[in-house]
Amino acid sequence: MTSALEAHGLTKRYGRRGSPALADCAFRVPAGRVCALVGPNGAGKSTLLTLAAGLTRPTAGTVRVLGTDPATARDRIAHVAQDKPLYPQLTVADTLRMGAELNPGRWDAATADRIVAPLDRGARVRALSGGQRTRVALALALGKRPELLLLDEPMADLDPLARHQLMGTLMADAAERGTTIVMSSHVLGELEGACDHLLLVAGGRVRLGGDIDDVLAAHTLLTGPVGDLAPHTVVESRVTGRQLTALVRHDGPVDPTAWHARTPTLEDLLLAHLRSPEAPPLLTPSTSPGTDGTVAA
Amino acid sequence: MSTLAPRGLTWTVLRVHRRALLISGAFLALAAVALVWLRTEGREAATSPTSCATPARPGVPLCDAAFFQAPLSDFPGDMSLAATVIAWLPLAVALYAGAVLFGGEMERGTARLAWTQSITPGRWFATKLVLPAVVITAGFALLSLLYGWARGSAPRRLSDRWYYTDVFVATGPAVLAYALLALAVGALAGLLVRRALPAGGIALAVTGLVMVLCERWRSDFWTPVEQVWKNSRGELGNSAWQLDMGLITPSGRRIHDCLQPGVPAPPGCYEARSARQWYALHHPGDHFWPIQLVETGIVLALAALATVLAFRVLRRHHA
Repeated sequence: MTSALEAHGLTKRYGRRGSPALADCAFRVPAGRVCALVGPNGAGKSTLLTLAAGLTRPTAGTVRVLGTDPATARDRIAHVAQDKPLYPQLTVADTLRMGAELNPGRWDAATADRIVAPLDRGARVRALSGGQRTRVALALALGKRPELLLLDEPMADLDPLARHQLMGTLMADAAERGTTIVMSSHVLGELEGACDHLLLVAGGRVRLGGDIDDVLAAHTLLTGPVGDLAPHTVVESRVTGRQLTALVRHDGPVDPTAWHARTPTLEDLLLAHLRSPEAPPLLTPSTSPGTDGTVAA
Repeated sequence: MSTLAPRGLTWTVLRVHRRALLISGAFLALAAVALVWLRTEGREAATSPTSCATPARPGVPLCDAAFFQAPLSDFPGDMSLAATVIAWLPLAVALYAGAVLFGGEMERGTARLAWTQSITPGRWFATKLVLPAVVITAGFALLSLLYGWARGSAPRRLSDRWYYTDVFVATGPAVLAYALLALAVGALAGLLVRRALPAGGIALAVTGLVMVLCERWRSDFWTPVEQVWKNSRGELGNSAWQLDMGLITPSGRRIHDCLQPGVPAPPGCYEARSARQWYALHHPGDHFWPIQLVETGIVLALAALATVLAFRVLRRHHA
């Protein structure tokens, strides 16, 4: 299985002082996945995406995209930054013309047109609302027919209806062409259902990674009397009176007589990991980078 | 569409900066018209009488009401103004390059928009330097040539001297070099501080500083000529740029403090009383081109340095 995005020891530090935005990250995203990049504000999600898009250079380590370096793969990657930068003085039509001019041989006018269909083509970008600007930015990204689509908080400005519709367009387009998508968000609802792969970044490190089903299956939510949780790896445990609630990575079967066990939801899993920074990171085999720097639980 | 129409990144840069192009084109057209008009004004000023006599003599009109009420042309004043505007116009280039061409693009993130299309940062940067450089070179060359042409229409006595800073910069290739320096410094400032207004301000300040420093050291850009008079003091010609003058003592020492009109013997000038030689250090009129070329060379070297540094900043931060 080829990887669309692969990082080894990836570190990015802004300025000389202060803690790094990303510290020694190692992971991979297999090709064809729709990957949710989640984490709290300031976790390093945007930094990771700009590094992958070849917009900034890593301080240390390497990032490989579509089997090569980001600069070489530039015409096969699309990136939509969080603030959706566009030229305010250009019209929607001019902005799309720019996409055609800057991507000779790749530009797909029909796809771009479909996304900006609800907009007045003669309107200037400065007159558009946040959600309409998002449409234009997404049209520019999808119009270049990327093999890897990097989206930083893509849907934050959209109303629920537009979000649903655009997400549908995005997913249909990705499924049709086999596009890999890495999409960051701190809103879980935006990603659940659309994504089949997960990268949880917090404090500049990858805390969880893998196909969502595998990651969920590796964890169990236990409820029962206070007791020893060995040999399972505890991610988080809370005691209320004599009642214990714990999220564990089970090692072998869980004793059904002592505990009430159920598979956690994605939200249980993410919240537990965010509340317990000391929990060991977990990368399932599909996400562990092949060679050096393997991080696995 | 014709094959000459701009494509790709060139189209994008021209489209994004269309308003600035239109404004600078309009300014250039207005300035050209003004300079052509100045030339006709200069011709009139050259032929119109400046003195009158009663009764009239050949070539000198009668001092009547018509002579005193004729509108007085201010050709010298207008030419000075034109020189000042042209000579300091590179500061406007610095402000635009720092604040809009580069600083604004970095601040708004639109530079990254181009880089996430199929354009490398290096190509983006080179195009954003070369296109404005072409416009700047053409525009400033036109202004400078028209200014020299207008200036040549009237006798020298009606124009400022060639070595006045504004005139010197505006009449030669130096103004072109300053404008290109302004562009390069604007690019470097924009990439370094990544914000529109600070980048524009820094570019303006650095370009202005170089202009002021060159003005200060201009007379040293070429070796001046020393004129020595024996027994009686002479005067330099009208086109000479006099830098220093004074006495030469019998021992060969040059003293320039002792030649003050109205001060018979300033302190320490006893030795000067026996001096019978005078000197004047100056640039004759034909030093105009050597000084122009040295100054242009220095400023272009600084512009090249700023460009190289800007490329290095771009390479270090962006893949």
